[in-house]
Amino acid sequence: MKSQKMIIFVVFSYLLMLSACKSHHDDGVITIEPGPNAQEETQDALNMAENGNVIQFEAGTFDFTRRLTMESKSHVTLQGRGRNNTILSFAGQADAGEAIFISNSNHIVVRDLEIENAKGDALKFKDSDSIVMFNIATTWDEPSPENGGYGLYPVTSSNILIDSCYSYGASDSGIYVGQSDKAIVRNSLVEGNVAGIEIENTTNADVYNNTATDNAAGILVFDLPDLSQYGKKARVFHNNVHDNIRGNFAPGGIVAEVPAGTGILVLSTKEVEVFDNSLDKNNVVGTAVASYQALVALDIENPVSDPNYDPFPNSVYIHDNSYSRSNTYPDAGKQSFFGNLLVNSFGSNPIPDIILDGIFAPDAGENGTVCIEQNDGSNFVNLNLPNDFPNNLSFDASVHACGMDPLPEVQVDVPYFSRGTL
Amino acid sequence: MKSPIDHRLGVLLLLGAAVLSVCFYNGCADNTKIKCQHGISTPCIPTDKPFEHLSEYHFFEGTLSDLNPIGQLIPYDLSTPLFSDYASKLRLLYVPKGSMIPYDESGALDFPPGSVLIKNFYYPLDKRDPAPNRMIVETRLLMRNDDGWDAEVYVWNEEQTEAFRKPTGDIKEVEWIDQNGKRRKVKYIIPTKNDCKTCHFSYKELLPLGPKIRNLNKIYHYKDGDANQLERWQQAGILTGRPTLSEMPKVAVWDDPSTGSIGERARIYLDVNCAHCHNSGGAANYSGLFLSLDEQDPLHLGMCKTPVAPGPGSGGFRFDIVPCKPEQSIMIFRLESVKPQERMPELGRTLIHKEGVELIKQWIKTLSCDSCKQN
Repeated sequence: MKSQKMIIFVVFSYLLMLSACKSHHDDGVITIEPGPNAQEETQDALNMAENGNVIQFEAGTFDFTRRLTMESKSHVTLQGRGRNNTILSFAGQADAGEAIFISNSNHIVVRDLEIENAKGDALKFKDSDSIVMFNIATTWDEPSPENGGYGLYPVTSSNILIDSCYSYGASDSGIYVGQSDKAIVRNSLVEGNVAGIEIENTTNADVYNNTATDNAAGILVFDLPDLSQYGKKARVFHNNVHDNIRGNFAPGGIVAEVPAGTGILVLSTKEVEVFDNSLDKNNVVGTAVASYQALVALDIENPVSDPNYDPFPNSVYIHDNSYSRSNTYPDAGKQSFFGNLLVNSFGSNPIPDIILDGIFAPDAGENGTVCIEQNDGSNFVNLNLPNDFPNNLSFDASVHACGMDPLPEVQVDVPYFSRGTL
Repeated sequence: MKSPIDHRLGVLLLLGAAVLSVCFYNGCADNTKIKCQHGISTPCIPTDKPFEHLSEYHFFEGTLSDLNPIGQLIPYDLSTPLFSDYASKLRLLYVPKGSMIPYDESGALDFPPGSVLIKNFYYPLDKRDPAPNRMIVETRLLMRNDDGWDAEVYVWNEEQTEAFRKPTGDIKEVEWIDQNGKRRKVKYIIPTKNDCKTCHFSYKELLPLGPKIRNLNKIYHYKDGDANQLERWQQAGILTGRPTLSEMPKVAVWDDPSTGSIGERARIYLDVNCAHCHNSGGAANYSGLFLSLDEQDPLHLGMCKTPVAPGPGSGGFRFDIVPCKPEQSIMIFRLESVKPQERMPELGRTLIHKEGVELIKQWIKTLSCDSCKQN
C-alpha cells in the first residue's frame, strides 16, 4: 500500500502547507514583538488588517521612528499586554503629526498599552466611527511646552468611548474630543497636562467618573467659531476635579488663555449640565461659564466673523457639586492673561468658586439661561465683564437659582470589548 | 495492486505540494501570472495587484536607473511644484491609447482608467555637475483604476538596479552637494501608503494633486523641442476640449518674479505646499486654516486667525499670520522649524525650504499692517 501511504503523506503535506501559509492570521491575531522589525511589521499589519483582526503588541518597549497609520479599516483591535507592560515609545520619531493616526475607520478598539513621548499628538482618530480607547496611557516624561498637544484625540468622528485611560504631560489636553458626535469619557485619570479633558465643538458628550488633578485646568467644554461644526449637549458629572493649579505651560493656542487654577470651564457651549462633581482646590476658577465675547472684550480674540456661530452659552445647569479651596495660586509668570486679571482683581480676597462673565445672549433673559443650585460650599460672582470690570462685580446668585430638565444620557454605538485584563 | 493511475496521482499531488511550498516561501504570493491591462505589455498596467518591482511595469527602456521613459509616457512638469526636501523629480504620465482626459479647469483632472502618474524622486549627487550622477530614492505611482485612484511607493536599492514596492515607508540618508558647493544631508522620509492618502485624500477620495490645468500650462523641454505641455497632450490625443492657449488659466512660477507679483507667487506656493491638507475636504479641514488659491476669506487664510489645535506648533505666537509681521506669524515659525512637532508641512519636509520661506515672509510684509489682538 505504498501509494496509499504516499497519498496520505502528500495530503498531509498539503494541509501543513496551507496551515503554514495562514499561520500569521490563523486566529485573526497578528503578533508584534519589540525589536528592530517592529516598525515595519506593525505598519504592514495595519496596512493588511482585515475585519476581525487583532494586532497584538507583546510586552516590552517598542521604539518607533515613524508614525503608525491605519486607514479605511473596519473591525480591528490594537492591543497591548497592559499599559504598564507594553510601551510604544516615539522618542525617536522622525516624522510627526501624531504617534498613531487612524482615519476613515470604523469599529476600532485600541487598548492596554502606553504611548510614550509622541512628537505630536499621541493617538488621533479622524473621520472614524465606533471607537473604543480602553486602558491606554499617553505620557510624556515631564510636562513641557515641547510635548505633543493631545494624548487621546478623536476629531471629526462619532460614537467614541474613552474608558479607564491615563494622560500625563500633554501641552494642550490629555484627552480631547473635537468636532465630533456622541462621546463618552469616563473612569480616566488626567494629570500634569495643560487641560485634563477638553470637549470642543462636540455634540452629545458625557464626561464622568474621571479624576483631573495637577493640570492647569481640569475639564473644558468649549465651542469655537470657524470650525466644521458647533458643540452642544454635554454632561460633566461625578468627576473628582482637584488641585488643578499647575502653571499654564501651553506654548500657544486658545488653551494658553485658560486661567491656571481652573476646575471646570464652559465656553459658549449650549445645553451643558455640570453636576455631582467634587471640585477642590482649583483656586482661581472653580467653575466658570463664559462667552467667546469675553475673549473679544478682553482683546484676547478678534471679533467673531463666522455668521453661523453663536458666542453665548445657554441652557447651562450647574448643580449638586461640592467645592473647597486653599490659598495656593499658580505662579503669575505661568498664568494666562485672564487668569492674572482675575487674581489681581480680587487681591487678597478669595475668588468665588462659581464665576459667570455676565455676557448673555440678548434674548436669554437676565439669567442668560444659566441655572446654579445646591452647590455645597460654593460662593458666586458675576464678573460683569463688559461693564467696567472689575468695578461691578455681583455676588448675588438669586437670578440663577433655578432648575432645568436633565440632559439625556449619551449612548455610544461601539464594539463590544471585555473590560478584563488580557 | 499498484495501478499506474495511483502513481500518477501521487506524482501530481507531490508536484502540487511543491508548488504550494514555493507559494509558502514566497509569502503566499499569487502564483498566477499577472496580466497586463488590454494585453499591452509596454507599459504593463496590472489588471489585479500592483507589481512588487518597478521594472515589471516596463515604464523605462534600457538601464532602469537611467529613467529613460518609453515612448508611450509623456514627461511633464509643474509651474510651481511641491517642495520635497530639495529632491529633484521626474514626472511621467501614461494614458492608455484611445482614452482621453477631459479638459477641466476646476481642480484635479479626471484621468481615464488605466492612467498612471509616475513620480521619481532623486538627488543629483553634485548639483554643479552636469553629468547625471544621482541617487534615486523612490518612485511613486498613482494608478487610476475603474473605481478610483490607488497609490504605491517603490524604494530604490543602493545598487540602483531596482525599486521595490514598500507600503510601510522608510527612512534613507542621502548626501549631496548643492549648487553652491555646500555638502547637504537629509534623512529622507519615504511615505507609507497611508501617508500618501493623508495628503491625497479630498473629501475621502484619493486624487492627484499636482496636475491641474493651471499648473500644467507651461512650456516643457521635450527631446524634440519646446512645446506647451497641454498642447502636446492634445497632439498626443490624450486631452480633449482644450480652449486656445490664451484662454487657459496659468499660475505664477513661485520663484520667477517675471511670472507674478509676490502675492501671486506666495499664494500658489501655499496652494501647492499646504492646501492639499488645508482645505475644507483635506486632512486639516478641522483647523479652519484654508490655503487654496481660490480661498478669499482673510480669516480662513490665517490673517489674525488663532489656531485651534497647534500643540507645540504655535511657537508661543498667537496668530497664524500677523499681516506685515512675518516674525510674529505662526506660519513662518512652522515653515522655519525642523522639529517634527512644530514643522509644517507635517509630511514630506524635514529641511527648511529657505527660498520658499523667504517668499512667504516677503508676502506677509506686503500685507497692510494689522496688530491683531495681542493681549
